[in-house]
Amino acid sequence: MMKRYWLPVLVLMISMMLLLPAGCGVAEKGSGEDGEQLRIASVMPSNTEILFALGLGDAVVGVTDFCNYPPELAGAVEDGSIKSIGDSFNLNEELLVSLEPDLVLFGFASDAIENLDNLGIKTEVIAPTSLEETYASIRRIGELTASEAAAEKLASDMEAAIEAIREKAAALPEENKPRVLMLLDLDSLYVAGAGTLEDELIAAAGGINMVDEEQYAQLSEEALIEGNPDIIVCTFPLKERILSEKEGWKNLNAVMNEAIYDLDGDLLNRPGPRLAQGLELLYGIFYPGQ
Amino acid sequence: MRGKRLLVLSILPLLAAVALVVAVGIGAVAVPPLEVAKIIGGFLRGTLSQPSIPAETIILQVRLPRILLGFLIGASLSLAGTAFQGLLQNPLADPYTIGVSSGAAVGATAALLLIPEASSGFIIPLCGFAGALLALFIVYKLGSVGGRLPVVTVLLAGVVVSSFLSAVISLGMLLAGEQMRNIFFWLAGGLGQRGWGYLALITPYFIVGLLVLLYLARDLNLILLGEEDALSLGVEVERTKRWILVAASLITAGAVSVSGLIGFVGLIVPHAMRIIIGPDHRYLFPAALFGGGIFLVATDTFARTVIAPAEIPVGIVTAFLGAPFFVYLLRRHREKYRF
Repeated sequence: MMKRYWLPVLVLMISMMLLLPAGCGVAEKGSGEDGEQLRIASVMPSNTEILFALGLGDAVVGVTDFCNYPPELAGAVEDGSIKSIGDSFNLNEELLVSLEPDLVLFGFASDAIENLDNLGIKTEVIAPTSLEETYASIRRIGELTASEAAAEKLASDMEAAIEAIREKAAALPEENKPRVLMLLDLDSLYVAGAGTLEDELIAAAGGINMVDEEQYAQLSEEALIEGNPDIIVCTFPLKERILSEKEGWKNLNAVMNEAIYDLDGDLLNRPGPRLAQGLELLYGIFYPGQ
Repeated sequence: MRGKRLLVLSILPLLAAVALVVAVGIGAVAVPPLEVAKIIGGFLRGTLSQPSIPAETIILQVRLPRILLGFLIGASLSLAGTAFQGLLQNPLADPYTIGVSSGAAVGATAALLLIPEASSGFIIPLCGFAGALLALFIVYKLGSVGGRLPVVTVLLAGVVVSSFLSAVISLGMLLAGEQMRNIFFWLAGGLGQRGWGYLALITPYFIVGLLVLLYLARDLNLILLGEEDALSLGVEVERTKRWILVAASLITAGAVSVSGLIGFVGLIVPHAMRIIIGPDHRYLFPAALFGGGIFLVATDTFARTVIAPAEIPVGIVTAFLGAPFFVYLLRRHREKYRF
C-alpha cells in the first residue's frame, strides 16, 4: 500500500524541498529597456516579496497560491489584476503563457522553463540558500527589471540591519549564548541543522544551533532530550502541543522556563527582504530587553 | 516435525526477550547497560514514577514505549498478514490488501485536512480506526454473496475499495497545501513520538483479535484443505471465515491507525515463519506474532540508531533488510516450501 503512494509523494516532497528557498513568480509592469511596462510572473514566494519590496508590484501579473506577502497581494489576486498560476507544484502553464510575461522568475528548476524558453519568454531561476545569496538575488532581480538602484538600496539596508544585530550579538559573552532548537514539525521532529538559512540566523542572533546535522534532518527524540535546548523556536504554532503532549520534554530548560516561541516561519526560512525582521525577533527572544 | 515446531516456539519468545533487552540498551543517546537496568528496575518497582534526569526520561518515556509499540505493531502486522494469506488463500495478501489500511489512511487524512486540532490527542488514530472499520464494512458488504464470503469476491472487493481509497488519499494530498507534509509522514509510517498512550490504545484490539485467531486456527487449517471437506468435518466454514476477516481487520486497523503504513512486515514475516515452522496455523500464528515483533523491533532499532542523532523512516529499513533475508530463506528452503 505504501508503495502506491511512494512515488507521487516523493515527487511532491522533493519539489517542495526545492521550493522552500524560492519564491513565487510575479509578472510586472515596471519599465523595461525599451520603456514598455514589464510584465513579470513569480513562481516563488521569496521572489514575489523581493519584487514588491522593489516597488515593482504593478509589474507583477502572476503569482502562486503560496505567495502570501505583502498583504496587498491578496486583494490584487482577488480582483484579478494579478493571476494565481497554481501552487508551484502544479503550475498552470497555459494560464502563465496567456499572461504574456516578459520575465518569469522561478525558485527551482522546472520543466516549464524549457517550454517558456521555446516560446521566447525570458526565465531565470533565483534560489538563494544563504543571507549572502539573498542579497545577491535582490541585486540580480534589480538588474533583470532595470531597478538596480532600488535593489542596491534594499539589499544594502537589509545587510546593514542584519550586520548591526550580528555585531551586537557578537559582543555578548560566549557563555551566555542560548542553545536553540529550530523545530519545523512536531510529529516527525524535523529540525533545521547546519547550513540552513535558519542556522545562519540563529548564529547571527547570538544563539547556538543545538543541531549539528547538515541541512534539515529528522532528529531522534532521545537526542533532543539529551541536547536539552534552552530555547525552542517553532516555525509554525507548536507551543501548545509541546506543553500539553510532550511528557518527556518536561525537564528541558526550554519547557521549564517556558522558552518556546511560535514564530512566523516565513520570516525565518523564506530568503527575502523580511529575514532582517526574523533575525530581530530571534535576537529579542535570545536576549530580551537588550 | 512436531518436536521441531515446539522447539521453534520455545526459542522465539526467548529471542523476543533478547531483542527487547538489546533494543532498550541501544539508542541515539548512549546509556550504560547497568544504568538502563537500574532505571527499568526502579520503574517496575514503582520507586521511579517521576523521571528527573535525562537518561530516565529517555529510557522510560522515549525508548521503552517505542520498543514495546514496535513489538506490538510488528506482531500485529505479521499476525494479520498470516491470517489474510490463509483466509484469502493468496500468498500475495498482506494486511493492506483488502483496503482496511486504506480506510485508516483516508480517516487519518480526512482528520488532518478537516480538523484543525487533529494533531493533538488521539484524534488521528481514532479517525484512522473509524475509517478502517468503515472500509471493512464496505468490503464485507461488497464481497459477500448470499450470506457467504467467497474468497475471490472478498479479494476483488478489497482490491477495488483499496484502489478507490488510494485515489481519494492522493486527491486529498493534492488539495492539502500545508498539511501535505503531515499526511506524507503519516502515510510513510513510523514508531517515533508515540508514547505510552498509543500502546494502551491498541492493545485491547490486538488481544481480542489474537484470541479469535488462535481459537479458529484449526478450522482455518481445515478450510485450506478445501471448503467442502472442512464442511463435512463439521467446520462452520462461513462463520469461521467471517470471524477471521473481522479479527485480522481489527488487528490491522489498530496497528495502522497508530503507526501509519509500515510495509513488508505483514507480507514477508508470515512467509518466513511458514518456511521455518510449516503451514499449520496453530503454530504459525504464535510464530508470526513473535517473528513480526522481533523483526520490527530489530529494524526500528537500526532505523533510529544508524545515522543518529538523525533517524530514517523504519519502512525503508524493513524492506531494505527484510528482502535480502527473505531471499536467503527462500533459496535455502524452496524445495520444501508449502503454502
